[in-house]
Amino acid sequence: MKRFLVILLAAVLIFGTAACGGNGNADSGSETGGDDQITIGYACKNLNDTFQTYLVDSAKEYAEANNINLDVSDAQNDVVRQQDQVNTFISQGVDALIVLPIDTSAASPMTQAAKDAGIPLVYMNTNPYPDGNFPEGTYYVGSIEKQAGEMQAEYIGQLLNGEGNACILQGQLVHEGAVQRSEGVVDKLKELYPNVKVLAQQPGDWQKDMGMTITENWITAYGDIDAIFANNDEMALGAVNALQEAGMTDTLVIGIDGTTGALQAIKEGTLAGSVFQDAEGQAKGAMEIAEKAAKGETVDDQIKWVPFILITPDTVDSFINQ
Amino acid sequence: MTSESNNVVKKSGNPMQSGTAKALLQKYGIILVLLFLIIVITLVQPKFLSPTNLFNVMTQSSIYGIMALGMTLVITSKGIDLSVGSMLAFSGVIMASFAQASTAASLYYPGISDLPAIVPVLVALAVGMLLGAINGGLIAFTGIPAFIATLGMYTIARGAALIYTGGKPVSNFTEGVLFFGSKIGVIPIPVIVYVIMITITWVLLGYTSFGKNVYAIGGNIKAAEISGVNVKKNLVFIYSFCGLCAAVAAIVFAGRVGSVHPGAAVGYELTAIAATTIGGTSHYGGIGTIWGAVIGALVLGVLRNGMTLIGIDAYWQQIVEGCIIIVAVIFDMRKNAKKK
Repeated sequence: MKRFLVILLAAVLIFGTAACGGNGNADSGSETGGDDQITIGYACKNLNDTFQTYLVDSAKEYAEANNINLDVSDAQNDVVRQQDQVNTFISQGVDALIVLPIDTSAASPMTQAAKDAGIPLVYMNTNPYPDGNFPEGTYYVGSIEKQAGEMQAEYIGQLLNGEGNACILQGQLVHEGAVQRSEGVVDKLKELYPNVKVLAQQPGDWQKDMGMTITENWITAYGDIDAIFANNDEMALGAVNALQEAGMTDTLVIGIDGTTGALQAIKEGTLAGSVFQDAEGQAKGAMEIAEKAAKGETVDDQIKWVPFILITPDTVDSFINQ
Repeated sequence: MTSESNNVVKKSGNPMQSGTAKALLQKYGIILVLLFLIIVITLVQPKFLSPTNLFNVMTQSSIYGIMALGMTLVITSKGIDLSVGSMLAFSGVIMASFAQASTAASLYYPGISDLPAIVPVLVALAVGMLLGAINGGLIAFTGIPAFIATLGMYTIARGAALIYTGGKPVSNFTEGVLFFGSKIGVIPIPVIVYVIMITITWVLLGYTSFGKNVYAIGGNIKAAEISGVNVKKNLVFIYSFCGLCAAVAAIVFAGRVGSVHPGAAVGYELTAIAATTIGGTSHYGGIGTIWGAVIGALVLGVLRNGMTLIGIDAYWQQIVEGCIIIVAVIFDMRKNAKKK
């Protein structure tokens, strides 16, 4: 009896929290909505990631403005959990799906399940079909990750007059975005500024504290670093902290995302720049396509590219006001 | 004599008869591992031994090092705490919301003036202790395994941190809070905080009746109960102290990083457990030392710092770290088996 109680308690605790985590911020699916109100299932990657919360916030705004019922699930970076959540959405009978795939190579079961149920599926932010061959009934809204790294390299390479030593702070290497952003930096430097040497690349897992720790160690190892390319703003700000403590204020640091903290740092001059990933453009673009497809209207293009935009001290004000 | 030193005596047997070298190797094996790492890294990259870098290693180790102190008490009592990383994040974001400068762009409590640093610090400590007490209470009064209770807290505290902040980092701290990440002369404040916490925990475990109870509960919980130890009360204290350590780590984190993200410190619980384990604290309970936890944290700190200095590939860094943990435990189990 006691053992049964223990198991029951444990189960309640775990499933209780899982349910909270899954639906934490979302409006829970009200099945009572009017007949004409459409429901969109939104399968998020991981809400621990600031940029992901920007995407969800924009999608929610769009849903409210257009009287759409939006169900959000959070897979906490677990591929299997995401597949289960998508299948749950399908059995709930949502009218359209938006999925931010965690593992780009594991998308086909979700594509198949949606196709079998006749539900349109919009992939967002992370491209599961890099060759561009999207199956019928699936769509894609996102940005070309490599472009962000290329923009960083072009801008910083120019500021360095094509000479110097650089390091790259990478995101988690299991994310294709991290790999492509870093590749973009390396390839563009080779092409345009071959005298900018990449001394080291190390993953800081998107986290500010790790960006700081790794940069401290780089300062010890290499002493003279002219530029640090970070795959996101949080790590870039961590690098700025470490450089300031070491009195190396001449080192140029650039991030990606355009978060509030980064914009402020660019304005103060501690961060050289960032690359704006248009959260609103991606989320609203995906919601628009999902809405159209759910209503049976024709969608013109299967793929919608949302461009990255470079943020410099000259242009930062226009982003702060957004 | 303290239980701590009793254990050490038992472990080393009679050094005069069984060979002094062997006994020393058993007792100080982990220090030899640390020295070996330091020598190898220095040979490849002499900059490792520069004073700045040594302080860097200690600062970088301080956050999970402080968590490992509380973890040592927990594991010595034959428990485990999987929630320390989440507790760091939750007490950290709550603290951060009280530490924001009144001029900051995003204020959690509009109209609030700059609070003296003592307020956010006390808030963090209170939140950490409260969460820890809930862990301890669940384990003591419902009888559920520590693994399950703290696994629940692991997700609950993380979820609470996300709800409180809406998933966004909290930054723009007052000078008073940033002090915890700064330096006095050449000595970083995180290192000073770490040393203070080491001293407190060392006294607590080695020189108080509470410390004796921790060993007694870990060694044999039934025997401890029969001999009059209030097991339930002590369990609540043990996990509260572990929560307190997570909160102290959160204060250092906030000062050092300058912002707290609700997704911060994911996986730090495992680093803290690894540091404790490398330091010789036995998961079978009843054996554990504070100096071991410190050396364990330094081994990981030296390893991570040194591998970056040498330029070892990031993938290999993880494999090396995993191997060190396993080897340390194999060594430790053999040592403890011989004791019996």
